[in-house]
Amino acid sequence: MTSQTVALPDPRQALVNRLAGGRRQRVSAPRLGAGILAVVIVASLTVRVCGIVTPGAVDLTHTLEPPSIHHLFGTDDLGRDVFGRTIYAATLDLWLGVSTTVGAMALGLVIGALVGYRGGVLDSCVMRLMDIILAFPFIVFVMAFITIYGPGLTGIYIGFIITGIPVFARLARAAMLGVREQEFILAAETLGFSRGRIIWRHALPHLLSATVVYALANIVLNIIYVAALSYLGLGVQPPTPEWGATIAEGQQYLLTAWWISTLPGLFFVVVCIAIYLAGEGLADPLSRRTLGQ
Amino acid sequence: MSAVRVSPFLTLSDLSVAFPTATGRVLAANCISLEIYPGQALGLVGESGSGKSVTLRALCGLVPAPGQVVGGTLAVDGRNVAWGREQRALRGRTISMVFQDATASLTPVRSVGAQLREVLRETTGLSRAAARTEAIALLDRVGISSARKRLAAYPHELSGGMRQRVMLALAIATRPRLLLADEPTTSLDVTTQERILALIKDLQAETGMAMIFVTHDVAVVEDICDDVMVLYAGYVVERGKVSDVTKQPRHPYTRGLVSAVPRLYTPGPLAAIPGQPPDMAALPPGCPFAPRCQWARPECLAVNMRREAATQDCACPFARTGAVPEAPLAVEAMTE
Amino acid sequence: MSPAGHTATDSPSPNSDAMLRISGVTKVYTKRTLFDRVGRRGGVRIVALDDVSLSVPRGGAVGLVGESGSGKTTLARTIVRLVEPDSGAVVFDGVDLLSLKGAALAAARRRVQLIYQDPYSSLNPALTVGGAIAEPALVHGLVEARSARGRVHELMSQVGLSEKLEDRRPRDLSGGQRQRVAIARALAAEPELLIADEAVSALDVSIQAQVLALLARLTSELHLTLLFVSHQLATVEHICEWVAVMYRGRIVEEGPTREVFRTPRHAYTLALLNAHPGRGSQPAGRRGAPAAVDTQPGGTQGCPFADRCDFRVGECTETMPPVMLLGEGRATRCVVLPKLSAREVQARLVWDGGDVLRG
Repeated sequence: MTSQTVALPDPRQALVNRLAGGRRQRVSAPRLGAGILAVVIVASLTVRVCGIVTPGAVDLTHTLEPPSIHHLFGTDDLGRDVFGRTIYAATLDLWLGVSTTVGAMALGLVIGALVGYRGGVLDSCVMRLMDIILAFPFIVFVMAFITIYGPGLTGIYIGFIITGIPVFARLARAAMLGVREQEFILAAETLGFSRGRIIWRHALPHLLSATVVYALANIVLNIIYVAALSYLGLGVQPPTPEWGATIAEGQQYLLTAWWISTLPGLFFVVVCIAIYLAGEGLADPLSRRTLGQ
Repeated sequence: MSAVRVSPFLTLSDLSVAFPTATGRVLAANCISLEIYPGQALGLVGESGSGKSVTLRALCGLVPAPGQVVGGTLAVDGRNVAWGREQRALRGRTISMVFQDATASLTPVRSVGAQLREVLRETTGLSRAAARTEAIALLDRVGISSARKRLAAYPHELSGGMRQRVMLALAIATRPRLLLADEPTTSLDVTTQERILALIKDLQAETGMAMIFVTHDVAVVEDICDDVMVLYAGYVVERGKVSDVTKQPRHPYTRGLVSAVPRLYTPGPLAAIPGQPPDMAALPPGCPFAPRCQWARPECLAVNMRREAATQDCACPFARTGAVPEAPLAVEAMTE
Repeated sequence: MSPAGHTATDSPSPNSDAMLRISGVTKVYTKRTLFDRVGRRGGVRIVALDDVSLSVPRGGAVGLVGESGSGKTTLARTIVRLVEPDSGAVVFDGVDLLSLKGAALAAARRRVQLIYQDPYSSLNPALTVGGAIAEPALVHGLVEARSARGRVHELMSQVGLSEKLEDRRPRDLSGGQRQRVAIARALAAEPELLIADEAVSALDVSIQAQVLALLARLTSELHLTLLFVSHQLATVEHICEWVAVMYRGRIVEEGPTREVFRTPRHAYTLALLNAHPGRGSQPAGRRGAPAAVDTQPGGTQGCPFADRCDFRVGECTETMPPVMLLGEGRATRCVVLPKLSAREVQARLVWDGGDVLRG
């Protein structure tokens, strides 16, 4: 008596397949995400470099026009093409999200790895410091830096990185505690390797896999926070286009010229999803390559 | 150990268990047949990948997904038992199992007594009081001192040997006719192992239950089993009485295995079987042991393993006809 | 063992050219819960090692046998300073390893290498075989970067691995192959003492024999000294000419392997030998192995084995039996067995294979 093993379909993949036109061709979710991101980034760079969109240009004859062929997302109250601005803003937002995450991750990993390896009093002190940072509401903390450095990107960089470090440090430390007693780490010690070498070459790849998934979430989160800050007027300053700022600008026209807030918002959501999908496709092979799982 | 050889109460014919892998379907167990008589102790010996554990799990209905039984029939008391629900219903009354790692098999959040009582009440419908009394009796039977006090103990509070005894108590609580033991003493100290093996033999004598004992340790099989089956790459390559197979092994793999085990008081170089355990996803045609066999010849690639394993006690046609010389096996660390 | 009347650094083994001399090593773990700390109580003391002394002769193969809780792994790890003992000395080639720090420690560590039990976790899954083997040689400056590859090939062929495997990761290898890689990696550091901590226990039987043969060959070809830690007596008998038996943190018997196993002079050694399966047609359990007892090892007044011992007499529970030297380098910590004649002891040894003295 034989029975077929039926592989349960991955619901996400099914959705992707349907979106891809319902054809039987295999568009994998990560590829779709990466594809969307690639298109957006290329478009954004083109728009910037070729000067198709300039931040300062206003066109007061065509204000508040609904979406049309010429203006896919309509125009805003200053007559600027919303779609163009949205695309223009893409690289800025993506860059902010990625750079702040990478900065926080690099520092957090180093801190977590070191204190996790050594343990002792240093471990306790540093982790309590991390707890203190975490105890602050995020926005309050960042606003403090913005107050010091003034509105603009510097405050955002420093604030986001510092507030991002504790979670990475915790994740790295937890992973290090787990890896610390593994026999290949003990073997590295008996082979006479220096502590730095052990942490860097032997332990770190394992810490990476523990943190990379959170890093992806952090990228998306940071973009959202940047948008939130710009919405509050604390982040990117006008006339630089930025997704959050655009959404804020359109807020007063929500009932009349709804496209100013809504369409960039939807675009933002799609890009975030694309980051997730692409990142997941990156995380598994990365951990498999470095860890040999 | 005398087992009255009437007729077997359990017959397994041509069991095959398949696992899907990235490179295709792998038969972890291939055409395995066996018969169990009341009171018999059968040993299944093999190394990793031999299929011994999978066979046991198939008998118990515990083949881990995505593997599944893809062939073979099971008959109990002459009646055919279908795989699936009907076969799983055998668990408890007819077939019971103990595992290698008691820590993983006992629920850590419930006391030992609670777990025993649960089994008793589920399978025999005893009242709470009666189940408690029976649980104490069982713990006592498996050699746990102060059984009454131990009822409230949690698994992590007991030593490895005691946990294994608790597992045995759980297994015999339902008075099974067949006990499946999957390397129950491998992770124990040798002095503890000896006590547990003695206990198992005593229980067998007392209750008349049969046993299939899976292990990689040929010496243990020599001590406690009447008959033995040697597995390699999912096939039964040799079967017979323990004394015959271990003192005069015929199949080249068995010969290698028996000679590779160091024995006390027997000096002399150890024989080593060259090569690696088989890659189940890429078995060569014919005899799976041929790549490692020092007497291999071209005809080995044409051996019909399924027929040999199903009909013969020794699956090597050349060994049976005496074409395999008595030359000592090669000794050395081989290049891989 | 600190023999009464001898200095702590003495050991009964006849070879006075000791590569490694362990003296009086003690390690006690104290488990204190929060309540213990608050209530200023002592907590549970677990004596992992109690005044252990052992000599390993240069070029020799010494076996260290015991079951779980005997302390043999702790002792192995103490030698390489993965565990810091509370007291004692570990003198390797004249230098006390316990007193070294920093660069001197790193240099000394290179000369003593440990092969671990689990071939699946002792190799870093992120490194290739070639990378893992080359690393110790490069880090210790034993080879130049450009000749590293050649050295790796040399080592791989020494341990019987095909060169084609050098770019593989551990996940692609079998248990036996991984253990060979672990051995090659240890050899890359050019050690003088190799400690095998249950190095073959996790391998399939047929592969065990391969790796054992490899270890035996390497120790003789490369003039290595071997300390073989194992619970498998038969294996130890095969490759070690000297054996020390450990029980609950103490060495209870020591001597030439053949002699110790044929005429044990400690009740535990006898019990251990009798408990080994596959020794004849005697049904299991009739060998007089003592009942397993469920107690935590702690400091005991008398012989630690007394509560399980068939030969126990009054004085066994009163004081710790002193080390008794028996000639031929043998030593034991038992008061009863040494008083019996050899025949009487052998009669208690269950063996249906004939006269134990033969062969």
